[in-house]
Amino acid sequence: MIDEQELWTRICHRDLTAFDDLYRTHSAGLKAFLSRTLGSRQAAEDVAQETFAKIWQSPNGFDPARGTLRSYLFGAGRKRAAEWWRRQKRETAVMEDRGECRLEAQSVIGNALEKLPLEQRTLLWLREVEGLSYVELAAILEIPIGTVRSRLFAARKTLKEIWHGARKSEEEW
Amino acid sequence: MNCELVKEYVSALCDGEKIPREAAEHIGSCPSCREELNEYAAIGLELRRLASLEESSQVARVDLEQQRETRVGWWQEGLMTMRIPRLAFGVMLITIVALSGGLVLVRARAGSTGGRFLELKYRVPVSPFAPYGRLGICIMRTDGSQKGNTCDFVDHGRTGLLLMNTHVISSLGDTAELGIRAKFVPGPGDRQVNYSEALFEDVPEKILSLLPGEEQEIEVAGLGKVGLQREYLDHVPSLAYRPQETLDPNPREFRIVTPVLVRDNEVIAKVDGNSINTGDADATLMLYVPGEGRYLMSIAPFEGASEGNVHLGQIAFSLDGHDYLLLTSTPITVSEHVWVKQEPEFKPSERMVRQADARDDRPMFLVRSLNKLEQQRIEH
Repeated sequence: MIDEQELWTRICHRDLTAFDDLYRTHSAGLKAFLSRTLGSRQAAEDVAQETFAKIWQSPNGFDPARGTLRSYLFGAGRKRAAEWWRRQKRETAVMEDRGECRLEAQSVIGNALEKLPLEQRTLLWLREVEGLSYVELAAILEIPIGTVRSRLFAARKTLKEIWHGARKSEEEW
Repeated sequence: MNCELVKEYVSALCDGEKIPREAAEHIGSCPSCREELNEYAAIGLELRRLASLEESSQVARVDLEQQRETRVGWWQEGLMTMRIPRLAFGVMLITIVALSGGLVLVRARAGSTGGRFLELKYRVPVSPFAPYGRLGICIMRTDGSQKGNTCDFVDHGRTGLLLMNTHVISSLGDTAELGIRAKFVPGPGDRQVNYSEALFEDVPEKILSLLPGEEQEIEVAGLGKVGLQREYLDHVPSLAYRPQETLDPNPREFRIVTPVLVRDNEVIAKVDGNSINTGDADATLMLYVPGEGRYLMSIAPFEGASEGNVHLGQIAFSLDGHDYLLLTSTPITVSEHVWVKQEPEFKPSERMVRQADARDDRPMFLVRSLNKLEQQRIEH
């Protein structure tokens, strides 16, 4: 098990192998998370690369006392994703073209997840798929731990209702 | 306790969080809450299954790309699949290569005019010599010029020194023929070596024909395999180790390339080479001039220093009634001011001689954190 502090120190000292380790360990998970956040695989690829690029260019902000390197990375990715959404809103024309690059419908749960508000979707994915702790989620989303708990509950409740509704529709077909 | 009061705790319990005892007791005895818990667990399971499917599809896509182009690295993969921040990623790629290359002392300098350039990357795998691996760059001219067509370096590893001597024999079409001599000298890596051709007398030259993007390995006795890969450059690199780099320094960089120090319109030092610091808040240029001692120019204020002004590749300052101008071939820093001090008594320390090939009878420079440079003074 690589010590995260050591890995980060090496990255700060421009160690390519260390950065490569970080990339290889987390890029797939980050892209999957961003796919869900952005609703587009291509955008997720772009934002993930941008996230790694920024970290390499200016490796700062990671504090082991506040969470793991993974939670820091996902937090950085989430912020870049938010910037991406802001850009998209400004570029209406691009938004109209997004239809062809939207994430393909892969499952009922996937479709249901897409219907969740962005914040709930983000929170639930990071918790269930990435396994981030409440402390890490609080640090990433910059909210109190109690709010993490209540929002996760709200996300699950909403998703459950959407999911059940969708499954019922499928059965009716 | 009732279901309404514990609903958030059902979700928290699903996450393995500790919940109040009363809530746990209710959930344990309430079929409705237990059903809720099972449903949340099922949702989590479905989400993880979905994520597994997505990650698998990404891996499959990369595999296809690798079949099409077997030498695509992860950074190239990123470049190929990216649409929006291509520029940002490009900067990252070059920085990676360049700064990793900073682990070695590369003496080759690109010529100042014309010609095509060959970028040779070398990779030392993870080993006791290099616990984290090594990646470096040499840039050589391929237009037949004898100046700048060689690249020599000494790589200071944990278990010894890796000496390499590379030169371009010929370049025809896409194929470049390189002559390479590599030697591993076991022992402490932190020691002086006087680089010379004589070091390679007992090492036969290996001739490699390399196509762009192709990687070949050479066996270095006592060390193992070292990978070599080459690319062409169609321009004169502004920074020797950063062939694609833009002129603008990054916000946390302090760059000095081929500095010339002018005092009252007289050139007192002119040195080839480049040195870059990334990330230190007290990044400092140390310019040693025989007979003058050293000049320290830092982006952070320090004791006894005077303020100087930065404009692109120039630093103007005054010391002891003299006007100085430091000129470099690229913009230096995004800071508008630096702090300058002269230490007339300074001479290169043993460590500088050992690690930076410094001598007290010729000018030299390097960019480091002020703290490290101060340490050099103390050692001296």
